[in-house]
Amino acid sequence: MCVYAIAVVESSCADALCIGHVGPDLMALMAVMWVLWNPSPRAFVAAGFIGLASDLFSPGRLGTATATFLVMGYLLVRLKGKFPVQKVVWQIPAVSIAVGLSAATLGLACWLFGETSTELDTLLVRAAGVGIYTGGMALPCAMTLSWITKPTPFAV
Amino acid sequence: MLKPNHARLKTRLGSPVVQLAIGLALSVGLMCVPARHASKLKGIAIDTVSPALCAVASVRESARRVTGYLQAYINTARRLSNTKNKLIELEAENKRLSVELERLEAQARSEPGDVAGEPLLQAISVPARVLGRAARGYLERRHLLDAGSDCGIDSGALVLDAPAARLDQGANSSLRAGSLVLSGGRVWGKTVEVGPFTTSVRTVTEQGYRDVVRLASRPVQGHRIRWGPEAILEGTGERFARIRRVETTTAVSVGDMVYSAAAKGITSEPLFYGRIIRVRRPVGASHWELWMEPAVGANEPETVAVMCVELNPLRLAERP
Repeated sequence: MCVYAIAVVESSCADALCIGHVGPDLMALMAVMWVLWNPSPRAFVAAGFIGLASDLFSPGRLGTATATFLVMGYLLVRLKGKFPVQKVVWQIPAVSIAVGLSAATLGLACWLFGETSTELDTLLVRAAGVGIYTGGMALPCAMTLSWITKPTPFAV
Repeated sequence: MLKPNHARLKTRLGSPVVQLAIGLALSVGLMCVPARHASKLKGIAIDTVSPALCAVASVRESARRVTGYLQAYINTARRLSNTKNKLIELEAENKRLSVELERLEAQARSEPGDVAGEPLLQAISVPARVLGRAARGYLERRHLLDAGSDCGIDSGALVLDAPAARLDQGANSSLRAGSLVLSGGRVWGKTVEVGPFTTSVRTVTEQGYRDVVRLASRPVQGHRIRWGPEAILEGTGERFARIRRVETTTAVSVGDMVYSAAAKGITSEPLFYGRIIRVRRPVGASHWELWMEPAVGANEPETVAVMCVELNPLRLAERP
């Protein structure tokens, strides 16, 4: 349901969300947040499915986002134990770096498959912009999730 | 025999690394899907979200309409607010002007004698251009050179003593014959013939020019003008004008000023004619032979002002 909603938002409101050539990667944001907030060591599989959805709803070759999100999710699962990523302060840079790297990987894949005429350095700069922008958008999401999952003082 | 293998396989498949490897293998498989099949798959995915996309598009359109309406409403409210402020300012200004008007009316009622202090005659300056040779030729060709037509003078008639200068204003600007023509505040000549649209001017040095003038000694810094005798100024057709009727008993010297006596009582400042340039006393004569250099040079000025005299309307209003 969330994937469907994000696909609709990305398809219909992309022009409103873009700043120049840079827009947020909401699918990647969802995948990263899922992996960060899910304690299961197999949470990256869901990230792979989100990547598949991203592949289906975006132009380009099928499978690139699936593979990228799978690897990104797996690495996040492995690194999750080493850093206190449950804290909101750590989640924002984690999302920025992860989404930036995934956007760079997807841009690189597009460039390698010859699906884009944009220069590689431009693609990498845009990927960094996407990472920063999506990291900024992750802040309200992380705060909301933190607020929802926090035990209330009235809880028995 | 099969059961342990199945359990081992299940354990192996449950490992994250194996799951990652399977996922990557599937991804590579997806990358190898031919473009036409991939397009079909993407088309199906897009079809699933198209109803939601339509709904979002309609919501956005409605939001845009509402935003436009609100923007128009805000603009109207802002304009209304500005207009209200302007109205308040204008009302305050109106009130201030009403008070000022009342004060002036009260002042006028309490000081009725002030109007009597106003001059009876006042000078009106009518600006005019001096017509050049080409302009006069053009007007002659179109029979518009009308000065003198009232007296039955035709453009082909023989001219004995006709003034050369002509202005582009006439009776339509309420000009009359005999008015002083000024250039830069100095007397240049007089109007002679006034037609409906043009007026001829006789300059100070032209033959036939006559006017009453007043002599005055050279001004000393910080002192008022010291007036001398009145005299007659005559144009002789030469470079300088002659001044007659000044008795030899009066002290006159080169450089003395000559002012028009005709404007006395009309203008606040005397109108300047020129300076005495030559003083002669013929043997046995009882009057000086004086020559004046006009203040306006020999070249025709571009524009002039014709001084017309009229009754002061303030004094007329005072009449019961």
